[in-house]
Amino acid sequence: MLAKAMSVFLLAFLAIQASGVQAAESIYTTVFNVMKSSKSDRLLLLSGADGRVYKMKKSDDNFRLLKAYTGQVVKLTFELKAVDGKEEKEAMIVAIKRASAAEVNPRELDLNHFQYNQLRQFAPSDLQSTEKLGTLFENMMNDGDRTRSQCFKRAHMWAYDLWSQLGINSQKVFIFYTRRYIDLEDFEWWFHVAPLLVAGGEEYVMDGTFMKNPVTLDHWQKFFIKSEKITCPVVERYNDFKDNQWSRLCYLMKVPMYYLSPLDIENRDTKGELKNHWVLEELQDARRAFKNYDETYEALDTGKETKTY
Amino acid sequence: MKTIILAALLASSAVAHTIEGTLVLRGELKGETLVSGTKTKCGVKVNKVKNDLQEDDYGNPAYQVQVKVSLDGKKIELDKDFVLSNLFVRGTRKVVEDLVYESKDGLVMNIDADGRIKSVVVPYKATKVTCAF
Repeated sequence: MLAKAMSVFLLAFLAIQASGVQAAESIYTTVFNVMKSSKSDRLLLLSGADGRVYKMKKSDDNFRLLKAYTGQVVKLTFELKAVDGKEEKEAMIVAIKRASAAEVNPRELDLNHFQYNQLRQFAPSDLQSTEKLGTLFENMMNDGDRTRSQCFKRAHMWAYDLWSQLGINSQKVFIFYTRRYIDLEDFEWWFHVAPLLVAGGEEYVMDGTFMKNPVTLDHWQKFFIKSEKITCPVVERYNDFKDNQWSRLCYLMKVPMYYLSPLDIENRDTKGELKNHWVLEELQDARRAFKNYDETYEALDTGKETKTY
Repeated sequence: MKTIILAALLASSAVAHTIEGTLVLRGELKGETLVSGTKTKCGVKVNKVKNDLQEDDYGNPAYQVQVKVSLDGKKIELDKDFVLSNLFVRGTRKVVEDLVYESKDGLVMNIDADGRIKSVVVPYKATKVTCAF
């Protein structure tokens, strides 16, 4: 009897594997954005808990159903299905229902990373070993055309991808050039930024535009200050940089992945505007850093005109 | 315990060395000085101020300044370029100073907190000629 049951289970398992569909999984999330894809016959649901895009076959009924959940906390059941024989899989919604108060405790579950949450404490992920760094770097979106955008927009999308695709909380590292450096070296930039990851107790900068692989923070800093003999102190506050423009050539600042630009850091330190969340309008703008952005990041569209940050 | 903490704080503050990063003003200065009792024209022209891309033991970056110094009198005539730095070796430490510069061939230049040249001490043969501005 047991052997028969096992064989039925095995057959069912193999059938699922052969069809490219994995067993259904469920998550609790906040439905942050719902839209009709203009590139495929899919509806796109942007999930607030993990930033992933969950999909459903496009129809008016399905659209009305999903749209009704916008802003709501739901239990979402999905299956990963292969797309037209590609390696990439789509997360197809199998079921969706409003989560009851008994199911989700907002003090325990962090379900909307597109909204500031006073209880959310940012902690950078520790990758433990450097083994995966190379693969992460290779998989970072990079079309080799840095003239399309500014560094902070590319860095923002890399950080967002690391988080939404792999659940990695990265930091960003800014190098700020002082007026002394800019004036005397006739330099054009006043800052540069890239994602920063911790692996094996060391910090690595994932600068997909200027580096061929992950590099240590020290290596990255020396590359951008063009000297082996200069150190850029790591500072905590924006004013440490702003108020000391002549006593140093450069400063480094590490901030959580959510901070898009120097203005964000200045606002944090001068106006107390904290960020522990993604801002969809910023992502909608930043995604334009890469070619085919409207296809790759279609769900990061507010439906409104893109503001440039 | 408190004594130890206090002593540690005092020790660390004694070691720390910070700078303002005072920038030498560009331009030309002319004045007069006496060399062996004879009036001598003295001029300093700051040609270039750049970052030395070196720093002291406290992380303070140094400047490099290129000047042309001229002395013109009956007993003396000089028209020479000097390269100065404000990075010094003091005992076992490398230290950047805000207001003093020196060249390898012995020219010493003092500036004020606004970056104006106050004086230069010019090596000339076996003597030193001081020009104050």
